[in-house]
Amino acid sequence: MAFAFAQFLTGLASASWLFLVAAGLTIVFGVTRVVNFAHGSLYMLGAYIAYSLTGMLSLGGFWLAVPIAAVTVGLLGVVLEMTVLRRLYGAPELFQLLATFGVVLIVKDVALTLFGPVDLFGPRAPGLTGAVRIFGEPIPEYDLFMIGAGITVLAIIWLLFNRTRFGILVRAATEDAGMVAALGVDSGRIFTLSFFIGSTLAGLAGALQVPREPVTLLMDLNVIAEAFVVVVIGGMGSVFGAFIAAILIGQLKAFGILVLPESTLVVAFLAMTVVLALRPNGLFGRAASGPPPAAEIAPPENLGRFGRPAAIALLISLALLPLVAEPFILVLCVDIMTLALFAAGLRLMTGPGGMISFGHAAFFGLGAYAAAATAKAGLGMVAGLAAAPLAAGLGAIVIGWLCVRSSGVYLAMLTLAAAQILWSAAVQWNWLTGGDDGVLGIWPDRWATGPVAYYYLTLAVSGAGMWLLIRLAEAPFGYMLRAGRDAPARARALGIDQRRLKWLAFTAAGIAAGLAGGLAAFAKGNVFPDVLSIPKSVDGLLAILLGGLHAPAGPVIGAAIYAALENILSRLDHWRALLGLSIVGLAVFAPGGVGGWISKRLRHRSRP
Amino acid sequence: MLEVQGLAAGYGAAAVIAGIDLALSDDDALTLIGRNGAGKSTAIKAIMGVNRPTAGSIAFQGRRIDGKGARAAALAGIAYVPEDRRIFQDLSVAENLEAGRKPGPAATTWTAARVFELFPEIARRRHAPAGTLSGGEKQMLAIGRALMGNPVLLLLDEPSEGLAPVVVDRLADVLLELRRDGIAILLSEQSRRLATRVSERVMVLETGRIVFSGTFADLDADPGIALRYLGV
Amino acid sequence: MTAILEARQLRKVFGVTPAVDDVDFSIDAGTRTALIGPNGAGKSTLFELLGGGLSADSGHIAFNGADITAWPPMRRAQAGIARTFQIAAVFRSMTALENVQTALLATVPGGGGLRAASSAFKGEAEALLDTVGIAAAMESAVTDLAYGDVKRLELAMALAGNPRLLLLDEPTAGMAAAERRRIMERATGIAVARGIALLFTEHDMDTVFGFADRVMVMHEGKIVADGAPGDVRADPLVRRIYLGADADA
Repeated sequence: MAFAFAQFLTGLASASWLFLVAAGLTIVFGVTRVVNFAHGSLYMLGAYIAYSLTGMLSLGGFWLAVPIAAVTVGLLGVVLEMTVLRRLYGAPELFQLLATFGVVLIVKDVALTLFGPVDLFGPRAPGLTGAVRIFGEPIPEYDLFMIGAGITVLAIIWLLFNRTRFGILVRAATEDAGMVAALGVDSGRIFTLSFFIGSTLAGLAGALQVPREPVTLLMDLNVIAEAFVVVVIGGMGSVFGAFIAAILIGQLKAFGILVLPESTLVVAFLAMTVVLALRPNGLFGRAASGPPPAAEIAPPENLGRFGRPAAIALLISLALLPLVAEPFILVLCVDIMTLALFAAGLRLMTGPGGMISFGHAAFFGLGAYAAAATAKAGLGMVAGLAAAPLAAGLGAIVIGWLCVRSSGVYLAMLTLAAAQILWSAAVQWNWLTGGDDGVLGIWPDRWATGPVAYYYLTLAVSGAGMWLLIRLAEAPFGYMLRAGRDAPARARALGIDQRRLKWLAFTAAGIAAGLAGGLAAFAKGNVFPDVLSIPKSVDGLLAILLGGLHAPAGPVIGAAIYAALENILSRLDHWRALLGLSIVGLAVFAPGGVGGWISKRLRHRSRP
Repeated sequence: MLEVQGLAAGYGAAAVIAGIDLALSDDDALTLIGRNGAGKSTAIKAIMGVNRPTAGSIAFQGRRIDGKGARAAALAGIAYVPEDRRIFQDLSVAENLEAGRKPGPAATTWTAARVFELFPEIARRRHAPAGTLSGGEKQMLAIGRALMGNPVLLLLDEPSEGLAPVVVDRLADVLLELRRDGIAILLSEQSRRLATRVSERVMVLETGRIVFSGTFADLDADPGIALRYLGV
Repeated sequence: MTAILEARQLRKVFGVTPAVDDVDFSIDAGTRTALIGPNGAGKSTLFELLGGGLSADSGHIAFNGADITAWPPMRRAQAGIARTFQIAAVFRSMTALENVQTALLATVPGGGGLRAASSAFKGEAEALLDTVGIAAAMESAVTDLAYGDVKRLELAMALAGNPRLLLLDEPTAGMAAAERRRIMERATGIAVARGIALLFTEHDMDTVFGFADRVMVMHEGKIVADGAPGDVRADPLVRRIYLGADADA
């Protein structure tokens, strides 16, 4: 009993911390409707700044460092809002997510430069280093402080939102920012101030975490996934919902760790999955009104008159390439072709299907691990390449069934959750995946060994896969899929079963990703958990964004440009920041992508 | 006070309204009538700046406000009651009124207390979430919220839609009282019950253009217009 | 004549106000019925109940002998109820022809495999576009079509499934008088030729009395008058609802 109570308090302490992070995220989303991936980066900066200030200030400086760090991060958030976020209001969610992910990369690079790559261990909080005994169990004083801090912040937010004019306007803007402006209120200022509050909370949470865990460059993405879970469970935009969800997750983790010590992340994501299956908008969320903005920008899509000849010309030149190219070029081309196949599936579900996935790496990774397991079992490469799409397809059938019930940001978060569950499983289930050490020595069969042979194999497999995906988009299936995206009510009134079509598109995209993952596994000879990570998902999204979401040839063009970009940038210092800047610039200034631009030209010319 | 010339607006390439001219002097009132989709709402939104006009000019008290957005119109002294009311559902009635208040030194003739005096129904529910109000009460709240900004011109988009006849009559009384206080009113309506009591002047809109302009008496003198454009 | 559609004690309440208040009526095959009434009378709600966009709080709807009260819109469409929307809903990323092809493809169970959709049902789609009078615009992107043509396109899409009942929600909203007459002539002509029962809401009385053989008047959620156009036009209650209390004078 005493132990359970102690565990309960531990859960509350971690819930308080989760609430601090999630409250800022949900406030920002509520007012601006932007899903801010960079919230985790602000949190990380809070921790770094508090750590550094604590070192600079004399003893006891931690308590001074925390508020300074929080406000500094708040001001950085204002800069972020005024330079990037402001341009994304009303943009499709995909561009918001990608642009703020670009910011994640930039901040990571800045943090690396300023604070170095080494994990930093902060001092314990002065004055709260001991433990008190409750029912005989020792409870860290700092945990009790955290619980108090969480409740205090909730109370302050409540007072601010319910007892001040500013708070009333923030809540009004959360519901209908346009109407707030029509009442003469400077809604831009409300947005900026909300962003300041949200960022300050992120900084505060980061700063307060310094005594509890080391400050590292991985804090940003680790915390953002968990914060998303809390925000989504609570209902996006609901501070109170975030509080309840934080307690739920905190307790599930505190007690879940006793039952399934390896699966804390899994528990959190399973909770989210269950809540969303029952309440698609979260506990206290409200359905978004109006059509998804993505429908607004969808142009007609087809390969155009020059598409087919161009595809054939490309195939012929790729077939002839080994005659002239160096082996390293062929290896690079294998990378490009697997990425293109991965992206082509993703494009089918994101473009014609209108579904944003932020966790498509789930299926790439499933394919890669299935191929690895098959090869390790001594069944050979061909069986491995068959197992990859099969495993990914089965995964996509299960995950897709759940995901296609939601849409927009919720769907993106569910896919992210699925990928994170698999990622944490890959890290934790050593017996199957080798954990962080990965699976090594996965080699192609003898006939496919060597850069040229494997190049042709990849060209054949990914080429066939992409051809099928393009056919699917041009077939009745693709038309009806687009119909459901363009005008759902009209599609229903014609008897089109949208949910089934979306499920099929989701599954097709999963199979393509799995095949790409299998090809990549045999190309590299090893599989590590990063095949399931967020950056892997972003690779695919970037390729389709670069190539143009609504251009069937986009994934090929995008994958080639992305690989070239990465190849050039990775030789430079600060390549992460440069990549991040490119992503932000692309999402903000060229949402149609390169492929979109080309196909627009071509279509323009091919019109009589 | 308000002078609109050659106003056009619409979505994408298709113009919903075009060539709208209208003028309104102090404490004047004007009703736009027309069938569904004739462009009444679009015209009102364009004047308020909720929709960006594609052509034409809007001058309010001698200053151009077109293209400056809804906030500029609100600050200039125009208040807007949208067709779907757009009250803040999660906020209480009192908080909705607070959101409509313009802080600053400007003379404040309208306070929450005065709005509650005008609409006792919502006074009783001042602490209730606005989302729980009935349709008529929501309409009262939307008008009260607009008044809190001390407007000199009130734009009302289909205020009687979905209201019971008795409530419509009350609303007409209130709007007449506002006119006596010197507030100009531009109204879009399908029902004549409210319109004829609030304003003498009327414009008929049909496929985005003004096809008739005059008094209600003129309109009734020519039954052909009513039959053709209004379907009565 | 046999009733193709029957509504019994149909009711839908929003908050405390019934938008559709225990409504009973039936529609015979091959007839043209206009549903009129002032704004807020409940016409749109009734339409959504019939199309399946909203589900009724109580009451029953039978179509072609089957109880469809609990059916989702998709299933009703497959059974032969087609509709248009007040604000025309078409597929914005496609040409007019592709819109109709998609509507035709939706009628094929299983979809039709991997063959290119662009050549599927081309002749049928062109014929449908010709029927509604916009064959000349078939290669245009729908975003380039005039509003009246979008409404015609929607009508063509609704006809693609060979419906038995066609629900038109304000088919002529936002159109000039001449255009209104043309589109209604098309719609009623097609309905008569194919034996489709037509139920439409409309504000324009010329259209109502010119093209309906029966008029139902809704007011405050109830059907208050129902009969031949001439009788309904003369009904003093209808005149009062439409012209308002002070217009009697």
